[in-house]
Amino acid sequence: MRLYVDDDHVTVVSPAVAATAEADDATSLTIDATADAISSASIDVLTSASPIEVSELRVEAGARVARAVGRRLELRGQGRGSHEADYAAWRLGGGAGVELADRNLSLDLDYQLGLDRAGDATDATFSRRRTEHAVTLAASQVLDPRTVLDGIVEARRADGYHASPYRRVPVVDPAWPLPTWVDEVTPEVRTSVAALVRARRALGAAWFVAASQRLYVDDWDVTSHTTIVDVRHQPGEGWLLGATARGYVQDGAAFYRRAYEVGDDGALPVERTRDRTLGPMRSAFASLTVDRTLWRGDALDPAGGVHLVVAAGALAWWFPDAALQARRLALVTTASLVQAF
Amino acid sequence: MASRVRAHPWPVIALVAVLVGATSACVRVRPRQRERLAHPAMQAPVWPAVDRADNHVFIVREGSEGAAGAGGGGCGCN
Repeated sequence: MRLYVDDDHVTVVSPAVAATAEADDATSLTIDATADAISSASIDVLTSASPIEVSELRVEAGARVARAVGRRLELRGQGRGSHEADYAAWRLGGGAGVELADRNLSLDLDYQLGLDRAGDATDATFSRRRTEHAVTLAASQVLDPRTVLDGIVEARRADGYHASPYRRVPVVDPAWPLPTWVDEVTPEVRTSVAALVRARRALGAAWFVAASQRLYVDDWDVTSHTTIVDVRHQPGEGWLLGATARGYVQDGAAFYRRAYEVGDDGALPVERTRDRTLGPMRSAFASLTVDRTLWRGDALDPAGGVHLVVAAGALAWWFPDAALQARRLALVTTASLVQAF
Repeated sequence: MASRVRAHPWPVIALVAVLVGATSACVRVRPRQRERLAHPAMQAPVWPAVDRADNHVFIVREGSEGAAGAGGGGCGCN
């Protein structure tokens, strides 16, 4: 169960369930489902607040099957669907993982196809599509008995509708006293590459640390850096504590403007957006997690048994270009009961 | 004109250099030496449900996604 609340009166309650079954010694099947019950003060709170009260339900479900081929190769496939009143998304993918060098090196290659359809709750005839292809290559290398190094590269291309039918963009004409509100228009194609490097290390018997750095670039000129540091501590039998700090900085898209004006010839800007997530921004996130083993099934398996996991995090965003709501705050809380066999 | 937040690639370049250097220098770790690597706190992610929930918020509220870190969690520790 997840609860999200922010200072713009957005509340999202998300119950979720997941289960994994071993079909045989080599095959596992995982299914999961979640729902987002959203209530907010606007249709698109972060980007174009309006006084309209919105209640919405999003339902998502997925399945994943993995099969071991021999001792070192795994093949997998997965499908996922998400539906809400004005948006539907499908994800289909597959991949393979192999362990090499006496299991000191693992390589994973995955592909995912995404199919999205955007609608408009106020216009039943409105329908726009987007197709997405994503390829992910990941490598993990054991460096010593306490250290693992990970590298992940993901390339993505999305083709189709990226805008929102609800976002209207004000365009100023110096000859008129009031701005003209027009549809949002963004490029049809977005191609991006993200790369992450992460180190995981055990410090002593009860302390563990992981640190990662991610770089993202795309052809809309959005560049971002994400730094994450995780510290885990096992204070005693049946307890595992975690603390996470995350920093994020982003450069805005080339066509993003704080305010748009008509050209000298009176023409509207070809591309225009009111999506603040496409502008320059920073965010900071900190969370604490408590994992309590309620019942241990197998004394040799510390991850087995029944676990209660509670996580609470605070998230803040800063938008240096925003005249209003230049800073936003949110709280994210997750509580889950995990039974492992 | 929007003010620009400068984001330089040097942190990732430095870490990639460390990764390449460290990988080329690493030794093979035997199964009996993997006790610390096999600890639940060394997995990636440690708590998948929490990770999924947090990443969903980041994707919705930020302008970039991909290579979020959930993949590449293997280390031959199981």
